[in-house]
Amino acid sequence: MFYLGQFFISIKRANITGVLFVIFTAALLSVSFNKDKLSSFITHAELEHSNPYFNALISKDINLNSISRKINSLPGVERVKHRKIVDAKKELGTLNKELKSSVLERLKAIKYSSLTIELSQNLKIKSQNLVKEYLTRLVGENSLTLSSIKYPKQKEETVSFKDKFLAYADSIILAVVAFMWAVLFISVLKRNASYFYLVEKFQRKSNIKLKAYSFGVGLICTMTILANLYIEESFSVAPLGISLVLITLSLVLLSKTKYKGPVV
Amino acid sequence: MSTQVFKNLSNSKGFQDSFVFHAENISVKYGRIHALNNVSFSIAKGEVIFVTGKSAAGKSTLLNLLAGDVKAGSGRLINSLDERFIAQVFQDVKLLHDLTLEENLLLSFDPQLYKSKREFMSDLTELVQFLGIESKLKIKAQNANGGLKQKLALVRALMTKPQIILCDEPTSSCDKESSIKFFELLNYYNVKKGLTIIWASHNKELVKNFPGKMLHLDNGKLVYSGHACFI
Repeated sequence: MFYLGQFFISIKRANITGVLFVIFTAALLSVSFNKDKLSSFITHAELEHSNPYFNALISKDINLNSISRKINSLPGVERVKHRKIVDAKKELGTLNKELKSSVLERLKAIKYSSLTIELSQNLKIKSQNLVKEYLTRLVGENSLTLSSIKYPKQKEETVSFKDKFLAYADSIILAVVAFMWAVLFISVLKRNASYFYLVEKFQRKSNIKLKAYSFGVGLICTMTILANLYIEESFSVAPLGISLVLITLSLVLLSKTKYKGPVV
Repeated sequence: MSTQVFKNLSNSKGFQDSFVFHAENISVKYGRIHALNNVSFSIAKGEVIFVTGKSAAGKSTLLNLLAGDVKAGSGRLINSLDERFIAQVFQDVKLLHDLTLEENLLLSFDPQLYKSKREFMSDLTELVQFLGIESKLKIKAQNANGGLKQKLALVRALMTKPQIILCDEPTSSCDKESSIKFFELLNYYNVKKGLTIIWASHNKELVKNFPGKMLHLDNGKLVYSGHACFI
């Protein structure tokens, strides 16, 4: 592939900046892909227990994204968090007290994903049960195990700066990675502007940099998304979409730029 | 001449066979400065044209206009050939300094023009041998002298099998002997392959020695158009 070849030549010409660009492209997509999980990871201790909540173990065969979206849209539901498989196994352990040992044995044999559903502070018990019933109807009784509603100790009313920061930490990380990606993208292109100009001039081709970067960045994006899907099937749709739009827009803008400077 | 007449003219087989460029009342401005002012000319297929004039007379602008790198502010330019068939020898040479001279030449390898890389290398060897630079291809472009770089720029342009070549001060760093060899090579392509040559130079005396038509510019205006030896 000529254009893919041109992409890798340009990466090689940019040395360390080129390598960093490839890494940050993959990082941008991975962070976007796992933004919700990143948020859970960062705020785990700080925010998880601020509202009443219950956990749900759901069979791996069920589409978690669709379930989360529907539950999240219910009134009285504050947030829905995906939890890591390790947490799901821990959750099974905590269910020991609530379930018979024969049921537990059967549950352990099934592969699970875990959701934590946080409810509003003053939600009535009747409404809490309605949320649970709706979830049961969505997933099916056989593919779902629910914990009881847990009432964490109330946090102090005052929210510290650290808490505020942690609440937005995932977005800040994503913004920093996106900014770094943009800086590296511009650096790599600047380094290769004269190269692409000469190839276009002397090989009778047009828009080489756009085509080369569409193929190259497209390949990195596809591989990153596939790798992430292999590891974890659920993902954050909106951040991933925004990142893909950012990358596409950058490529479109790239086609509008024309090199006029000296060749170095 | 009306737009319609121009369209018909440029689409007619006769125009395509005879003229490669036809410019009428072309003006190009950079801010308030008129780089080209109401310039009209025609260039026929296979012609050798010298564009002369002092520094900042508008020679480079005219060449950039013909290459499609600069757009005319007013007037009309008809090009009967695709811009891809135009090769350029730039005034500032435009070589990639971190590559060797050979690697710079390989940038012009277009698989659509050559059946194989071997065929490309064979043509390349012929050209570099004629210019006597075959032993210097392994040196980095940043270490090459001005004359060598200009020869390389010419070879790179010719390797694209162009129908028109635009040379902007191509021998400014060469001695007279090299300049003549330079022109001999271009003349060979002109006679054997019908290459149209457009050569910009501030050295009126040098180009007087070569057969060809001259367009002499002064402050962006075309002040002479005719045979070079009659100026």
